[in-house]
Amino acid sequence: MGLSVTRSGRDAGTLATGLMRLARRLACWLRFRSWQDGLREEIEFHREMLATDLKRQGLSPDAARAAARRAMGNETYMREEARGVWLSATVEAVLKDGRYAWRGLRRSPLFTAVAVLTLAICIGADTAIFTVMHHVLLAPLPFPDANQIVRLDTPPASNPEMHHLALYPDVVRAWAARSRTVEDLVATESNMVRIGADSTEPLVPGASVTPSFLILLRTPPALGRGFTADDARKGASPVAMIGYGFWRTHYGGAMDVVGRPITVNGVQRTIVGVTASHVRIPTAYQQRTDVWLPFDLDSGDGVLDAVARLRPGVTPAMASRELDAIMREAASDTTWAKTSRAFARRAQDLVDVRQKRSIELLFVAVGVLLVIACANVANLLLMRAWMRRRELAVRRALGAGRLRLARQLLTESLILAVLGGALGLLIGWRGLRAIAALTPTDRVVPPLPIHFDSAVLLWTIALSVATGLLFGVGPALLSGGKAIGDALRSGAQSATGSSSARRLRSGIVVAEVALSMVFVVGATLLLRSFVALERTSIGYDPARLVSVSVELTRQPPTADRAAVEGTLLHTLGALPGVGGAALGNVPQFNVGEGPLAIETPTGAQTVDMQIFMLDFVGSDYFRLVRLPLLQGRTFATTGSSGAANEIIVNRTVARRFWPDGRAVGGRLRIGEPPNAKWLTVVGVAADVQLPGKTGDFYTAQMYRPTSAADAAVSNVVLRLNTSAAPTLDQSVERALKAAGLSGKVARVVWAEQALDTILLVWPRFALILFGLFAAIALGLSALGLYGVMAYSVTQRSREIGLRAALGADPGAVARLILGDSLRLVTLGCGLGIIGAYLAARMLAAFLFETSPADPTSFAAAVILLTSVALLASFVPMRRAVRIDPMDALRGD
Amino acid sequence: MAGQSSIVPGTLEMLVLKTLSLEPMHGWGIGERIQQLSQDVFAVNQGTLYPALERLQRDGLITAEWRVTENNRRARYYGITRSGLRRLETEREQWERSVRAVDLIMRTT
Repeated sequence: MGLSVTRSGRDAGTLATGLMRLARRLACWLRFRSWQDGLREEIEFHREMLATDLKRQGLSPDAARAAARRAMGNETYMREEARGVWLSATVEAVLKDGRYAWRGLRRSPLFTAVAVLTLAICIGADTAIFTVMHHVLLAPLPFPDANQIVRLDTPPASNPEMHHLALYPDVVRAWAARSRTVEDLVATESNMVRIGADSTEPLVPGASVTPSFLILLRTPPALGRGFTADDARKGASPVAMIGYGFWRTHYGGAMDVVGRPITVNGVQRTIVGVTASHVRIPTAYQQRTDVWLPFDLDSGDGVLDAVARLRPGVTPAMASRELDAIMREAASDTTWAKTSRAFARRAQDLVDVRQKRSIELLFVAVGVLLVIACANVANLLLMRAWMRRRELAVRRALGAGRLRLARQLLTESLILAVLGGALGLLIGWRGLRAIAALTPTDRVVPPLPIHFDSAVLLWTIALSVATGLLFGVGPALLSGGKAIGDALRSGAQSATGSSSARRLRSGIVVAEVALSMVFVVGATLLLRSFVALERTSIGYDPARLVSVSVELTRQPPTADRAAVEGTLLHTLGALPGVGGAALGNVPQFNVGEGPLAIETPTGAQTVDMQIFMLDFVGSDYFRLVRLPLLQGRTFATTGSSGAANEIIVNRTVARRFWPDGRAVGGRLRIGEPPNAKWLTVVGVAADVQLPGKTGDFYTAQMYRPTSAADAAVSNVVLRLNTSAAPTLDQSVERALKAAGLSGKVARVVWAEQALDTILLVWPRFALILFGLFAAIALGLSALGLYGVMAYSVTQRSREIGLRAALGADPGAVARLILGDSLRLVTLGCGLGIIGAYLAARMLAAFLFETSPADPTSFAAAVILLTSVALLASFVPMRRAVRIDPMDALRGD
Repeated sequence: MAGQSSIVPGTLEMLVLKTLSLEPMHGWGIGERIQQLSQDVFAVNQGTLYPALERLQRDGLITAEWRVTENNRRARYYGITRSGLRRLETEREQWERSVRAVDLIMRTT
């Protein structure tokens, strides 16, 4: 008997056979269990055959079985040998490492739980933030070659950051005709449309698009066909496409919907197609479009949006230059073109700069948080490695290679990382839903997804593996040191610990404290800024103000409009619980556009101001919202035609264009002749101040009488006596009916809520997340500090015992331990203050009336961190004080 | 079982291939056949036989499938593959060369 030495398999080493062998191996691994069962059965069969053979030679059945068993020898060994053929030694060892590490982790559940949770929370946060960032900043539109799809815009040259402004059809036509950088251009116009013949049907989001819309997106319709050039021609039979969601909800996803009639805004059309589910107007505000109508660019009027597909190789910058030149040429006779610039921008580039920055900031923040988490877990692992140094030393002495032990520790960290990653994914998923609920769905930022995509999954996997490697390395390196030899010789109690390990761990704690400091300072600054924002007066009193938009379904002729609005105002003002009513809008955000011409004593002067706030209000408006008129008077009686040429400007406008701000009596023209007429300033209103909002759009405010408006919707502001009126729209509709008006409530806006959304939602979002991060960071560093102190007490128990025996009183021992901890904290705080000072400058853009170097915030952070640190060292300190000198001195 | 000895080191796989080149067989049968063909000189050690069979499978020299024996028992039958046959040839040549060489040395007086 003896092992046969084989040499087969060595001489057949060509690549092809090697690959074949690998394939067979893999197949075997995949079917490992069934393979194992097969082998067992085979060996059993062999044994039985042997027994039968022996029986034939005259042995009794029992004796034969026993003899056969003896003859077979060590079956387990045989099986292992056979398995070894398939499983290479490394695989075997990795599996063994894994099993061993798993057993080790199960033995210390507290350590495992803390480490896994720490990682999970941070990986979860990272995943959630990464998903948001990916979605908002990186994800291209869901169309083929989406990077070539751009939105065309003409912001004022003075403020190119502005986006989504309506375009003049002439310019769009010129672009479509002349541009060479643009492969295809589609003009779109979004508006609400009414489906069905009945005028009480609700409005749905609709859009008119030029025929090549789906071709530009390179996305075929889900059903039927897209528009053709013929559909947009004059006299063509009217057609429409419907959106995927609308098809599912209104037609139950019927396959025969193509060809059915649909009435849109009173015109009967034929449905020719259903768009794919992800089709929307790229980069536009409108999230969902239910009904698509074709239109011809040549006959288009009003203002448009434009989306273009750039030719391959053309960058948005190149296109912008060309389109700008075309625009200047096409609209050379307007002042408007002189002060504007054309831009072609990708969807990603449209995201508000502030939002972009806040998301980037959050990303950096969670990255740092992850570093803290890793440091903490590394610290835990180091401590664990130290506590296990005897075990490791024994294994080392028994012949385990240094590499083998290092690999083992690395395996342990990787298992922790994988567990943490898995749990983190779960936490991240929940967190994402929380963030999605917190985030205002801005008009440009599409609603956040509440699921991960594959990129995020990859990110998490990479993150957890990298983390495992990162914090696996430290302990693994240290396990190789000469400490192992010492550990064998000396007992656990007396060893003073390798000083390099201790320094490393103290360093980690200092770093943690410093980073936490940065977070705590950041959160405190944001909190102070938020409080300042909340306290700021906006210039009028929004308490219990409600803005009601009423859509009068049978439009009165213009002449009657004033009378109808008078009735409306009277009716709503008489509702129970309503303290007062005025025509107008809160919060005021009507966009006024076009150049302003101001008549000064020296003559007319055109001013470069494209965008400003222009609202149409009734004469009682200022009194109702409590916005003081600083000079002059309000409009003449609502509805009188005399008021149509009157305008009220705010203090900012008055100061800018009239000496000493004495604007009353001055004249002003909005837009260009012949459409624009001179208006007379009759009053100067106080500024409506929106904290944190700058630029003409927010600060230059003007008001015109409602009689000058031509909107289909009438807005009424009500001041309620109580803050709750849940059935407001119902009572308004009843009142309308009673007054003989047929109309319905299109929108009810509570001023306080709306202002909250505009002013506070993003700051609150940042504050909550940052506060959360700060809390996590603080908790982690407290945990780290606790670990270091507790460990140090265990380590120094003999020394402490000796001190106690020599007469040190408990106070002295406590001072010793706390002093150690305070040294680390002071160092950490010191570094943290420097870091926080630098980091706070990044935050400056988000702070309102709060200096990034705000001493109060820094002081608060230092106090908070120190108290938490003292708290964390309290338990170890108590243990140190209670050390019995006799126990400690007896040692082991 | 007097007079039996273990197989010459390094030849087990060749012998298995040779046996299987005659007809497909299960593990027990292979051992029996080797013993029989060697006129009871060689006894196959099952502790080495099964790992050897796995190795040969891994290298694609033999294949295995479950069949039913004459006694209605499930057993794994091994059959030689084409590359197994080729391997058998080279092994045989090598073996014959070594035997001749050993013989030459041993005959030297």
